[in-house]
Amino acid sequence: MTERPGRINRLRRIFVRVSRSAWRRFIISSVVGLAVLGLMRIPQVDATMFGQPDREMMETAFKMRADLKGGMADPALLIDIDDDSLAGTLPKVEPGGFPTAPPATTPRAMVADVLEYIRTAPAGEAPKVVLVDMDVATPTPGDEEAAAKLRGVLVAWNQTPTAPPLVLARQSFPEVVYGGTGNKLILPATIIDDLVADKHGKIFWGQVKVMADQNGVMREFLPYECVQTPSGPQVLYSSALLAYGFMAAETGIPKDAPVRKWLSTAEGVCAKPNPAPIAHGELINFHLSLGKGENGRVWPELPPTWPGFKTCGQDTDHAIFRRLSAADVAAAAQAGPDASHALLCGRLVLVGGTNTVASDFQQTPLNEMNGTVILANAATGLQLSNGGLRRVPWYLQISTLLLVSLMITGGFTVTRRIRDHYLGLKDRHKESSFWVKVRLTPFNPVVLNWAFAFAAHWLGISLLIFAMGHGYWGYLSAPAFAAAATGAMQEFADDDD
Amino acid sequence: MTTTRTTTFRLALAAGAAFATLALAGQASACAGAGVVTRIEGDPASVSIKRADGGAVARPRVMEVVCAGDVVRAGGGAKVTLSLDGRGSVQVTSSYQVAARGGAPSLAGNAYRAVNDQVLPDMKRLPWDVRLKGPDDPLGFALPTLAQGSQKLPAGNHSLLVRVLGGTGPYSAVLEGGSAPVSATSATGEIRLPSAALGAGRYTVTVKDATGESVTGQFSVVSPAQPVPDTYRELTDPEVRAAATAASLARGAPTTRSFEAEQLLDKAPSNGLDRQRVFDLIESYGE
Repeated sequence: MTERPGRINRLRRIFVRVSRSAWRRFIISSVVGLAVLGLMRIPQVDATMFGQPDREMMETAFKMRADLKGGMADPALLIDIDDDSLAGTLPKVEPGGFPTAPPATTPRAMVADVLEYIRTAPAGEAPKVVLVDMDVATPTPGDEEAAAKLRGVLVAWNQTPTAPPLVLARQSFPEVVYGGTGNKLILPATIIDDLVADKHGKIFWGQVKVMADQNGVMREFLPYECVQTPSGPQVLYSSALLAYGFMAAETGIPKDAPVRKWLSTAEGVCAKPNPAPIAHGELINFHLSLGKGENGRVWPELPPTWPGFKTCGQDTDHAIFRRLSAADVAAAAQAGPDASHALLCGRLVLVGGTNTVASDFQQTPLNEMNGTVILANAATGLQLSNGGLRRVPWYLQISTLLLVSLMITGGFTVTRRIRDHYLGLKDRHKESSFWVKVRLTPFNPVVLNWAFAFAAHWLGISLLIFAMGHGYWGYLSAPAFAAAATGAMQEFADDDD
Repeated sequence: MTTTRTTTFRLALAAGAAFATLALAGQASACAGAGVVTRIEGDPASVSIKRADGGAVARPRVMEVVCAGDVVRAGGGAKVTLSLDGRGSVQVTSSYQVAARGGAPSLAGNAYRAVNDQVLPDMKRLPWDVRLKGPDDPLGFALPTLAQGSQKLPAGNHSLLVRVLGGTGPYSAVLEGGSAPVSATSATGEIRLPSAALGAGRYTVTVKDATGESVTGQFSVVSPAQPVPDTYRELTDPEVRAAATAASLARGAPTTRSFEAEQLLDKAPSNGLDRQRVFDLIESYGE
């Protein structure tokens, strides 16, 4: 009992001693960190090197959770126009001959067969939405018969009550391509314009543009663009955004969903005579990985709570993502009643190509990925995050930063103590053997600081993974780094004093 | 009061346990899905799937989901192609038990890849990707004993070499079609079957790996071709002249063929001569 006042006095002395040096450092570090945090909320600053640590951290978080959790997004089925699919459509090489270059366009007859297979799915096995990542407007000289076949299938699509919404990818071109002088984007005419214009139809145009950072890594998708059509200016929404809209039709898009800002402003922006292009798009919530040349990828299973089980039954395919060769699916279209459609039930079906002729591969935070798989990430990623990744609220970011600054200051204080202890140990073991000195390495302040930095980095990544699991992301790396650098500089300054 | 609370607690506990049991049972009975039937060649009626949970699909359709433990049977010359998660494409011509989904990603694997990308950000990661790939390549095999591009082997004594591709060792191979099956095992990918006298006919090779996965392939053994002489026999002038006379006669009466002409033409291949060339030669003499 007699010791307690002495101990309290000792603690008070320590606190006062700490407060004189550490509290000052904490306040300065926090102010610098908060300033950087404020700057990071400006998109132009975010795009600079200051945003790079957070992009790196986000990239690591994407990689860490890739293909591990199904989440509540609808599963996706990629009908892949792969090299095997193209092989079946090319003319056979005569003995003694040598192959000529394959056509640059996707075989329309194969796409028609694939769409016919989907169209004929019974009502209880139909997909939620179908997205075709191939521009039907691209001319196919010499293959008019197949183009007519495709149109025939699309005519039937509009007339089939059980057919799901069909989003067809389109490419717009600046009017200079057509001899004009402006920068307006022209959406060329196609042989199915009348089918898309049909207000009771189920076919929609969508664009598939994605946006890269300065390193060429695709991180965002373009939510919409303003295009000129024969009927005047129109909004050409992103295929991923449209697909998300159809997938979320039953539950509705949440009121606070970030994508709502695009939906509410697009019409007004495109009605202007010279709409400004969008500089920053919608973040792609990467979670599905399929690298170039990967054939053995396995994706996780749907959670038992997926609402689609009510319609599709428990025996439906449980994989959150599946890839099938388009050649096999086109062959299934010929099988008629001998083909099951259960694989399509309640899914986002994507028709696209990993074939080397189209060579549609882009660098993403996960790996070099096919364009259609990026679209799958964009669309189902919106579902996972309830309409887009939101920034962590500013008060939470500030609180976390203050906590991080406190930890940094505390860390420096601890390492300073350990450093003093380490110097004492070094003096004591000056004459000891090499191996005894090696045993002191963990107390080396440099090693300790690196260990703290490493732990802080992975703690940040863990927090980010947790936040992204709830549809949030937040910039903390650059502010924390700034706070830590400020703390280190003060530490050096104090040493000099 | 205490008794009521305890009873309520016990009831809640029992209900929770029952619910968990039911949920687990429901989970276990559901087909988790390990692949898809992508193609059925031949009569679909001779294909069947015996489900792991005891059910059966008498006449499976293409795009049908198959689950781990299902047994796919193909008879009557039918061939079923399965696309299996993490295992690629498997062709079934007799019976095949669907293997569990292989190579599912793990947090450790993802962390390894993430750290690897940070350490070597500008390097192509092919060697590491190969290590991370996880599942083996689908099981397959080649028969280097057969001439390249050929599915035929001349009759005689042969010790067949089976080169296994993919799968998981050790492997076993069985050769059937002769008087008695011939088999061998190997821990590596090369299996040398014991020498056997192979007569003309159709033979089947079945390779099985450690996981029970199997693939079959067929080849033919044919009777040896007639030996080709080292030196071509030259036609003698009297033979040609006799044939030319026969050809002249044949032109006058197309259905008439002389014995000499027939002999020359029929023997041409075994003499190492081109039959058409011999015919043209006879024709030129006849003019």
